[in-house]
Amino acid sequence: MERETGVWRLVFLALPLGVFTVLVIWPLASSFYYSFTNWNGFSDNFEFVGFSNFNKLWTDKLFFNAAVNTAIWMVAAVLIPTLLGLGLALLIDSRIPGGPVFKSIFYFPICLSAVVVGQIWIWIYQPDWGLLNVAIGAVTGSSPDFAWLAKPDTALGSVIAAWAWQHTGLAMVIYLAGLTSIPEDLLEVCEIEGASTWQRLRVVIIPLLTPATVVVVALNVINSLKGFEILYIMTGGGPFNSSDTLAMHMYNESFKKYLMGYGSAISVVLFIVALTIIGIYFRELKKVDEIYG
Amino acid sequence: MDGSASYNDPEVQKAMGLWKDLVDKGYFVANANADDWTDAGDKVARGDAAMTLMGTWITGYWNGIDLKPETDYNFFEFPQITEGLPNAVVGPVDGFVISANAANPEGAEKFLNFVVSDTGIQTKWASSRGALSANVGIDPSIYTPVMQKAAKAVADADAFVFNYDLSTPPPVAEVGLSMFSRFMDDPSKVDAILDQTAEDTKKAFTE
Repeated sequence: MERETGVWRLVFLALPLGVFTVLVIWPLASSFYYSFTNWNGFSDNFEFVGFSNFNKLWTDKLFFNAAVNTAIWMVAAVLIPTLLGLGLALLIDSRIPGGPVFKSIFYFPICLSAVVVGQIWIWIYQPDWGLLNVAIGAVTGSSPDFAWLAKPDTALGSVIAAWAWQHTGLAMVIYLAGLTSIPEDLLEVCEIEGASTWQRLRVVIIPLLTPATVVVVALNVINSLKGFEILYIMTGGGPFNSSDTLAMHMYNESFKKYLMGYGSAISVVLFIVALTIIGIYFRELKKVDEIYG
Repeated sequence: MDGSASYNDPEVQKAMGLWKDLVDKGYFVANANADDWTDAGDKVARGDAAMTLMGTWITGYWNGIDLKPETDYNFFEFPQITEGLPNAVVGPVDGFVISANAANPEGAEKFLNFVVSDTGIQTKWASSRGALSANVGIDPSIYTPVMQKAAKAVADADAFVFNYDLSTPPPVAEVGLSMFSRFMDDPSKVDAILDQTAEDTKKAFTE
């Protein structure tokens, strides 16, 4: 009987495992393979070049530029939506008028694709008639025409703002669910004992929201690692590589310069970075799980 | 294009100096890097810009937004700067290719010869794409008056050269195109930008 169940498990798992192998394992193995070649992406003729693609990484200043931008991107893309989501959840949970409406409005952007969000924000940042410059002009009485996405100092930050706008709603909803699990009587005791709002937040609410924070941070880390489309749509890594991340750099090297072998080497590095971050995260997650059950 | 000249050679410095002079005189729109070719085309269409440097395909875009050739937009050749130099036109050519492993290369060659030499097909090809046909045998009246001027410019030119980004290896083109936008962002740094580009392209040629 037990053996029969095991066979059925294998039968049911075969299809998803097959799809996973074709769509994930095979491309991953191919990237590792091509990272040791000088393949241009379409020719049958290529050679094994050993570790030379990986050695080239050390002298490629655009790779280091992309690595720094990736670090900035990851920290900001995790921190900003998490903090804003927590703030909004606390506001809405405090029974402000129109709370449910605001909840729906703030959640809405997560339903849009990155391409749509990117296009909306391209319009917002448009130098001549974009909403941002018009709003700044209305407040300051000037006529600013700053090109947010075309200036190297502001391009990456502008994309991060668009990213945060899209992902804050998800963090907010998870925190709202977390807030409902905090016992009312605990908060009442705090009030009776004369705790200030800040003390209540710091000592009771935020620690009890740890399981929600774990989920929010996990989702934001995973989403930020996948964050390619919005950068591709909004800046394409430009102007002159100022918003290049490792994923963008890999794409440009592989598909614009036709250096597929070198692009594969970058993808291998990105994979190792992602695996390390997720490994560390799951180790910490286990500790939190042991504390909170 | 093949790496025999450097990006900080005197000829390049002179050309970029002329370009910088135009920027300094305020002849370019603000935030030029923020515009793609359709944005630039829209600015000309709205009258916010007087001209844009673009291939003939932009006429198809303008016709599509109901601008009338010669009435609403027109064409002129880039003015000659150094007298006595041969007049060259710049542009890409759409090419047909036969796969090295084609099952019937002779048949494919015959078909391609037919496609490019048959004036009926080339007429349809050129008018549907808003481009000039490489076949000079087709009737020029199929072109709009503006495209006829462009056809005449090509016919009268001393030389036809392929455009920059397609004439040099892709890794070098990436460095060079980035140089142009870097220059437009801050033309005052032109010398440093050219030195850096010369260094980066030397490396890119070895990729």
